[in-house]
Amino acid sequence: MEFRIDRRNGVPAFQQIVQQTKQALRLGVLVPGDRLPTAKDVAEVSAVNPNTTLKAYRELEREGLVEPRPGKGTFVRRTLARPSASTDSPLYGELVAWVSRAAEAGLEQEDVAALVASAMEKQYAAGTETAATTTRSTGE
Amino acid sequence: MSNGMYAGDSALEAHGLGMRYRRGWALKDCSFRLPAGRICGLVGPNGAGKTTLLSIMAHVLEPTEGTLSVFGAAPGSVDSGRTSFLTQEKPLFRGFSVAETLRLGQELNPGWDQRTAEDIVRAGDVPFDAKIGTLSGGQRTRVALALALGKRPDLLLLDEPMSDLDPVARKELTGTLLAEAAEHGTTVLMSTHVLAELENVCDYLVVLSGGGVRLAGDVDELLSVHTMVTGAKEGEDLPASLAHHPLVESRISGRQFTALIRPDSPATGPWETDKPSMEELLLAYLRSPDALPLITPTAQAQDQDQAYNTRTVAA
Amino acid sequence: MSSLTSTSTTTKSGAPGTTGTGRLPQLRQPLSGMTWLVWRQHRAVFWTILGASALAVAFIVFQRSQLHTAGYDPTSTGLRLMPILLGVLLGAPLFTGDLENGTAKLVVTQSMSRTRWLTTKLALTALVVVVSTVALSVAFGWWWTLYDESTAWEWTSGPTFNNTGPMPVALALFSVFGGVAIGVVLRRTLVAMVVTLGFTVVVQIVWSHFLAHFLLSLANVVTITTNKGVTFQHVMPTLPPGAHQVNWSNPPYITSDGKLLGWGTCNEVQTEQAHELCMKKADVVGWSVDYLPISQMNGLQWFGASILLALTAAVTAFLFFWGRKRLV
Repeated sequence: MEFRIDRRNGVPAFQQIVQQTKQALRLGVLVPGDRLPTAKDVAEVSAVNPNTTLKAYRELEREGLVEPRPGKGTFVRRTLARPSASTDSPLYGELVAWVSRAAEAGLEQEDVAALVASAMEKQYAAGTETAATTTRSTGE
Repeated sequence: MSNGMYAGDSALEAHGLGMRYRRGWALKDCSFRLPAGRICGLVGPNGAGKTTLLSIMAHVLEPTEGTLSVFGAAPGSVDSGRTSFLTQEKPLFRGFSVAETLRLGQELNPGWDQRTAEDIVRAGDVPFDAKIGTLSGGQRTRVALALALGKRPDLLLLDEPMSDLDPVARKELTGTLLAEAAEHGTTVLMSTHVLAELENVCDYLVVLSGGGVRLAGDVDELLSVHTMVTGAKEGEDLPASLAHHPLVESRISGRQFTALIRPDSPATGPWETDKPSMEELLLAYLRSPDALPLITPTAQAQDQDQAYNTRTVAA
Repeated sequence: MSSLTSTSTTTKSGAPGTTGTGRLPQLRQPLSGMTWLVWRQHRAVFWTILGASALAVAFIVFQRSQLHTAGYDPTSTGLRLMPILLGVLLGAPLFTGDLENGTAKLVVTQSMSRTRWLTTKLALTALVVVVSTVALSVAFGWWWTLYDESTAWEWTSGPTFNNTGPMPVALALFSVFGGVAIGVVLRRTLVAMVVTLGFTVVVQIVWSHFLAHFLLSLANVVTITTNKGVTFQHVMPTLPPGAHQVNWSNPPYITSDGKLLGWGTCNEVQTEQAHELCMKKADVVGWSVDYLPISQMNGLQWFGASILLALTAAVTAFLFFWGRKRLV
């Protein structure tokens, strides 16, 4: 896989690598046993400091998603893809029905997005905080 | 592949480095340290002494005062490791072909890595039999970089390496450079005044201004000790409650103030706080030459007991 | 891989360049290291000098073998210009090109010392100068031995003394190294070439004066005296081959008590008898002629050359002690 590092969006490159790896794990682009691109590959393709890539991989390792194998590279340990998160799951059907009800009620796209974000905030607020703490502790 | 992030070994240590030309001091009392394996940006306005500092490290110039050690030894000595220096003009012999230029590297450097050098040239589709004088700027830089990297340096010094390149060549060559650094654990020190060039490339920073070090340290560490504060101004000035935090730079526009501070304690108050970006941090320091310099612990020159070091620097 | 492992590659065995096997053709060439670089960089001017010298030597050898003297004078003038040309075209630009283009920085930041670079450049340049001037000196000296029989050019004359033996080598080396030093000081090719032109011309002029007024005065003057009287036809005694008679205005007549009398003696008489009588009256017994035998030519040339080579050595020392640090 190839990381798309956006220099202008204000998100540190190492976080972009972490996020994009997780996204790939969720979407099944990466499956257990796959090798992540080496820091050299990422440096060559995306012009990113190899230490940044290694830092992102250590973060993923801490979360138990990947494992380094000395002399071979960094490999995926487990996936983030869940059957219930795919588009043919019942949860998705319920969401589609809810979105269409919201549209009927006259809500604009931005209103729907704000409602979803707010509901997610309420549900996952504790988790986000943990992530932020982890992030800070990686600074050396 | 090890991470190279350890602060243990020093690639460079400068102790009270000074350089005087006929027109005055270009560098004065420069002390800092660069841990091995880092990719460090050397930032400063034109005339800040960047080229002078790099030239001293490359053993092209002798400092007027102070000492410098490269991997624990004096520059140019056998123990100082291999140092490659790519100057801003990237001088090459115009009448030589690309192959002859690589041969120059091979003839003059024991331990030359012909494969690395050829791969870099080949990756840019530069013909080996072309004369240097006929190459484009990007191709020339590529050949110069191949020459610098074929030497398999432990320390790579680059003076404005990408300044005259188009964005495509710039990204391509930065990638090549970082990949080589990743593979061999090379310590890189590159000067630039294009701040955007540094983002995602450097994990260490040294800011020079007026011949002295203004800021030095690990990028994450430097960013984490600074806070960007935005809020409504009080009277004609910053809020009084902000005054006890060391201030780097402040600006007022309309009723709003923006300040970059180095808080000793959490800066809570009727304002918004945010982490600065690398560019904001650098600009703030470059714009305020009177702000207190900050040299983080990993960037502080250590007292050494080497015989040649005659100067002690207060940390 | 950490920086520690990359440091350990300094001990890597195997010849450099073998890692590229099967890639760029590795031609085994006679030159290597710094010598290769210096020869490659200056090969055009080196070959031009060697080629031009070879042509000139071929011309001289051909003329001499045919016992011709045609072209002798232009050749001798050409040889006198040679130190000037070499100084301006080879010496002055030797380092200024590198200083102007920044390639000096390129070379001194490789793994070899600045001293090595300076030494190799000077040594190869000296080698080219010595090879070409020695060949020309030997060839021209051979030609001169033929021309000399007609006594057109005495050994003490500049065109002969300075173009044979060790002299052309020493003059060329001093001019070239002077040009190199001027280049290192001035750091600009064009300016250095102009100043070197002035310098080498002055060297030629000063050297001519030095030769005529100082060097030859060191030679031992040999005097030939006769006691067979002086005839009305003033036939002087024959000097040994190649000898150079000094000071024609010296009193040429010697009396029985060893006094010398000038040319004016008995000049007023018109007849042979009167002259003979007059000479007898003046007690003139024969001629006294001072000359410099050709056997001294070689010694004087080596003495002059060693003065120039000592100056060249001083310039070289200056280049190493003052110039080395400024070669960036």
